[in-house]
Amino acid sequence: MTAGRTRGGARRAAWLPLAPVLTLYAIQFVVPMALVAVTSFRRHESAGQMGGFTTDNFTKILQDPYYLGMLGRSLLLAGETAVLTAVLGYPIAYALARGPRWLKVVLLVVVMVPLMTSSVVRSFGWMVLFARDGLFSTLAGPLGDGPAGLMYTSTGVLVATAHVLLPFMVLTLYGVLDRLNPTLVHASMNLGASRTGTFFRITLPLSMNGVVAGMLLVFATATSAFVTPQLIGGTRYRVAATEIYEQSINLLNWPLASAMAVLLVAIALLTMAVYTRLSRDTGGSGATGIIG
Amino acid sequence: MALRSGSAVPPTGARRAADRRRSAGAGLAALLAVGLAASGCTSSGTASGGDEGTRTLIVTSFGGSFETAQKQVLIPEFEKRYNAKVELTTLLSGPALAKLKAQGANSGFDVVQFSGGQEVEAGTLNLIAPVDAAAVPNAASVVEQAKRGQYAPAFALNSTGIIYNTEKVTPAPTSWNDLYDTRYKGRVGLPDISNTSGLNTLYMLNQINGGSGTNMKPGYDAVRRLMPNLHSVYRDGATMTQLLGDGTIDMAVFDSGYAYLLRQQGQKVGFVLPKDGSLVYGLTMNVVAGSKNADLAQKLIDLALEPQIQVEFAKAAGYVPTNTGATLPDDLAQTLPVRSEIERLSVADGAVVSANRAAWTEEWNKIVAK
Repeated sequence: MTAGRTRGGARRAAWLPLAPVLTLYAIQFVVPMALVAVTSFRRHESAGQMGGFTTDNFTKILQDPYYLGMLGRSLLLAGETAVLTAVLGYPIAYALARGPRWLKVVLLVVVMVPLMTSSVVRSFGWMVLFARDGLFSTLAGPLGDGPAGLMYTSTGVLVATAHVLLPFMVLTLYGVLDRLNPTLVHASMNLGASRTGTFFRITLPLSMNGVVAGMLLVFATATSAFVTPQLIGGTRYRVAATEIYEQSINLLNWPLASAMAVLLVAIALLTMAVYTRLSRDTGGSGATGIIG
Repeated sequence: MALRSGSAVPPTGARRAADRRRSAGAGLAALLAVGLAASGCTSSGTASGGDEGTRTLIVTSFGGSFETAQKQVLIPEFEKRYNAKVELTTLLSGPALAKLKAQGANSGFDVVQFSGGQEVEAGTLNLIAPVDAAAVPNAASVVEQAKRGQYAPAFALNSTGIIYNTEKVTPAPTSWNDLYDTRYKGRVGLPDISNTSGLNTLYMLNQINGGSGTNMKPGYDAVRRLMPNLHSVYRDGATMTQLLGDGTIDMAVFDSGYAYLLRQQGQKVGFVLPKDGSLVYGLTMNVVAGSKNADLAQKLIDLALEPQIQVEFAKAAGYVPTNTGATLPDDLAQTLPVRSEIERLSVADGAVVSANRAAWTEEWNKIVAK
C-alpha cells in the first residue's frame, strides 16, 4: 500500500512541471477554440449579432461554389507548397546532414532567417522583388506572369509561402537523414552501387517517411497561411484564412467565420493524425523492414 | 514538435559522432525556438493610463497620411490647450466597429473615428454617445452633408472619383463609363469594398445603371462588365499609389484626399468627380458610450471642427473642411475638390449601407475573385 501511494505520488510529481504549460494551453487554446466551435453553430442575425443554433453555416460553406472554391484553393496552395518545399528542402537537408561544418552553418542561417523575420517584413521583401519592375520579373523574364511580375498571382503566393515554411521541411528531413545509418551507404557502395544508385536505392527510400512527415507538417501549416496570401495575393486571390479575417473583422459574421475556422482546424488535425500515425509506424520498423 | 520517425539507430561506437549530432540538434532547437518567438510577436492595440494629473485619451485613427496629418495638426494643439495626452491607435473603421461591438466601453477607446458611415450602425446599437451641443459649439456651424443628428458631425469630407495618369489617359475621363474604354484593358484599378471608396464605387455603378438600394443587380452587372479592364483591387491607398506610380494601371478609383496627396508629391495625376454623380462621405469622431473621458472627448471633437484646424488639416491631408467658417486659401481651393463641387454629390444612405454591407460584400467578392 505504501509502495502504491509512493508510485502514485511520483506520477503526480511528474505531472506537476507540466501544469503551467497545460494551464496556458487550456486558457489560450482550448477555451477559445471551444468558443469558436460553439459560435460556428449559431445563427448569423446581422453584423455582430447571433441567434439560436443551426448548421446553416456549414451547409453554406460546403454548398456555395464560392466558399467551396476558396477551401479548395487553400488546400491546393498547401499541397503545392508541400511539394515545392520537399523538392527544395531535400538537397538542403542532405547537405546539412552530410556536408562540411562551414556549409552547415551557412545553410542553417539561410534556412532559419525567414522564421526569425516578421511575416509582414518578409512579405514586403517579396513584394519588392515581385513588383512590376522588380528583380524577380527582370530575371524570370518570360516565366513571369505577364508584365506585372508575380504580385497578385498564385505563383507569387506559392513562392513566398514555400519560403517561410521551408525550415519546417528542412529540419524534419535533417532529423531523419542525420539518423540514417551511414554503414548502409558504405555497404551499398562496397557491393558496387554507384553514388547515384546508392542515393536512389538506399538513402531516398529510407528517408521517405521524413519527406512525407515534412510534407504533412508544411501542408497543415500552409492551409492556415494568412499574411502572405493577404499581402502578396491581394484582394482577388482569396484563401480560407483571408476569408475568415474578412468575415470576422469586416463583415462581423462571426458564425460563418467560426465555421470556416472549425473546418480548417479539422483539416489540420486530420493531417496531424496521419503525421503522428506515420511517425509511430515507421519509428522502429521502417529501416529494419527494408533491410530485412 | 519532435520528429520520431528515425529510420536507423546509430550504431554503438559512433558515440562522439552522436554527441556532435546531439549538440547540433540542440542548436537547431534553440534557433527554432528563437525564430518562433520572434515571428510570433505582434503589436497590441491600446495603451492605458498617463502621468498623474494628465488625462489620456485613447483615439482610433486610420494610419497613413490621415494619421500623420492628425498628429501634425490636431493632436499637439489639443494636448497644449487641455493639458491632456492623446494616444492614437491605428484601426480602420470596419475593425473599429467590430471591436466596439465585441467589447463596448471595455475596448479601452474613448474616441473612435469612422469613414464609412459606421456611426449610423454604432449609434443604433448605442455603442457611441450623443454629443452635448453646449460642449461642442462648433457642431452648429457645419454644412448639411456633415450633420449626423444627435451624434458628432463629420469634421472633414472626402469624395470618391477617378484618379488618372495624365500622360496616358487622354482625353481626361469625365464619367464612370470611361472606366470601360477598351483602350484601358487590364489597366484599371478599383478599391476593395472593405474600403469606403469601393463601397461607393459599387453604389454609384448601381445607381447610374438604374439600380436602387433594394435592387443591386445593375451594379453587380456593371462590375462584372468591368472585369476585362480591371487589373487589381486594392484595400488601401498605399497599394493604389504604388500601382498608379509604377505604371501598372492608368486609372484608379479612389478618394479626393489621396489624389491631392499624389499631386503634392509631384505625380502626374488628375482627379475627376464623374459628371454622372458620385458620393461624398464624412470622416467622424465619436465618443464611445461609457467612456470615462467623455467630456475630454467632446473637446477633441470640437477642436477638430474649428475652422483654422480644418484648413490646416485640409492642407496636410487633402480633405475638405465641414465648418462653413473654414475658408481655404486660393491655391488649396484649386487642388482640392472645392465645396461647391462637392455639394452636388449625394450622400450614401447610411441605413441601407449598414443593412446590406455584408450581402454586397459577398457578391462583390464573388465577382472580383480570380
